[in-house]
Amino acid sequence: MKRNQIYALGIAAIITIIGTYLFKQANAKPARRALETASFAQPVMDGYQIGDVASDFSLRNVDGNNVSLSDFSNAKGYIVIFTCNHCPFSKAYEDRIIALNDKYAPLGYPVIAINPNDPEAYEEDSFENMKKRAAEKSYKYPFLEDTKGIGQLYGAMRTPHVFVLKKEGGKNIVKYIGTIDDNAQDASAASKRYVEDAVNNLLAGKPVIVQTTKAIGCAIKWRDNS
Amino acid sequence: MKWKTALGLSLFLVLHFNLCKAQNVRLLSFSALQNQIRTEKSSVLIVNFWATWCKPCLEELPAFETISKKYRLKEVKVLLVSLDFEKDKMKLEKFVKTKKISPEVILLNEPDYDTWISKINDDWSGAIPATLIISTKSGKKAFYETGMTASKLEEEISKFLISQ
Repeated sequence: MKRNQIYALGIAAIITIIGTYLFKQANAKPARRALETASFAQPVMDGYQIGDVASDFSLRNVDGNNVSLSDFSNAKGYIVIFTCNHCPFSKAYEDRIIALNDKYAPLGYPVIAINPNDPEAYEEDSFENMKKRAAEKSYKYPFLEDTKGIGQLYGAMRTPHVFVLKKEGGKNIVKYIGTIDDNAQDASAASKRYVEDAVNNLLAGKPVIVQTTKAIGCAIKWRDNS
Repeated sequence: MKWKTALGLSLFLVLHFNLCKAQNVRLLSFSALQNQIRTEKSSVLIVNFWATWCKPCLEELPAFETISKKYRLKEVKVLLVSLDFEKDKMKLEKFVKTKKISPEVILLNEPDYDTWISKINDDWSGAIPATLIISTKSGKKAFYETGMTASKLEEEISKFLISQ
């Protein structure tokens, strides 16, 4: 190789390295400015365990009336689901939540859906949008606005997050906490239907086998005042 | 003539490496992710669990971008584990490209969440964003089921760098 060819290659290499460095610096700068605005979400440390007595509540339903667990005098228990409009997991499970109510409300386990999100953070989760969605999909179960920190009291961490309660001696005992089934992406591919299994066992007077499960979900943005 | 060729070549290379470097997002099972974590060569590995639909996750992405650049010579690696649905892989790849995300992004395809969430951390409920910091040398781990800022991340990383 001739000497001037080597020089040319050397210069090319140097310019490439400097150019790469300058590009990286230029890309890094906007990122540094944006990060100062991120905020911290406080984790919920307590909440219910299996066997705890769950509190009743009185929250505004999409029809404008307040709803409490005690309104369902014939219920044997409840499928309380913290869910919302904006979260893709809540959307993916919406039809399955409707189906749970269709199947189990007549058997004494109605679905009670509660939206724990601060609508300031998610416009899609505003009371108006809750009403809209409930009407569009003809929810036959209450869809309540959590303005009283019930989600924090129960220990909901994400949407959707299910608490199956059973009425025992006038109290609502927590029997299952977790996810609906083992496949959020594809209902037909789900093989473990945790909530159905739990309620079926409770209806049969048997203990719940899988009492708690975890799942990926949307972190809840609590209201400041709740 | 030679100098012009050299200039042209270097310009091409600069543009090539910086503009066309959009990464391919790999689809990984949980065991493959565990394997990748186990064989990581950097001394500190930061694993952030996120998704393109997760607003608080997107708010903190710039912090991970900054940390990844700032500490690249200090053996700190950032791995962004997306929990987008598998069917949204193209959407994720487009996002990574348009936002010019430089830390490695993988798509974790393990829909039976209950089987692996506790293996990342016992206290993790499954809400995202969530972040795991691991010292590959000492095995020390810290887990955060909260949003992150660059300053909070730096504070946590410094604990890992000091202890080594």
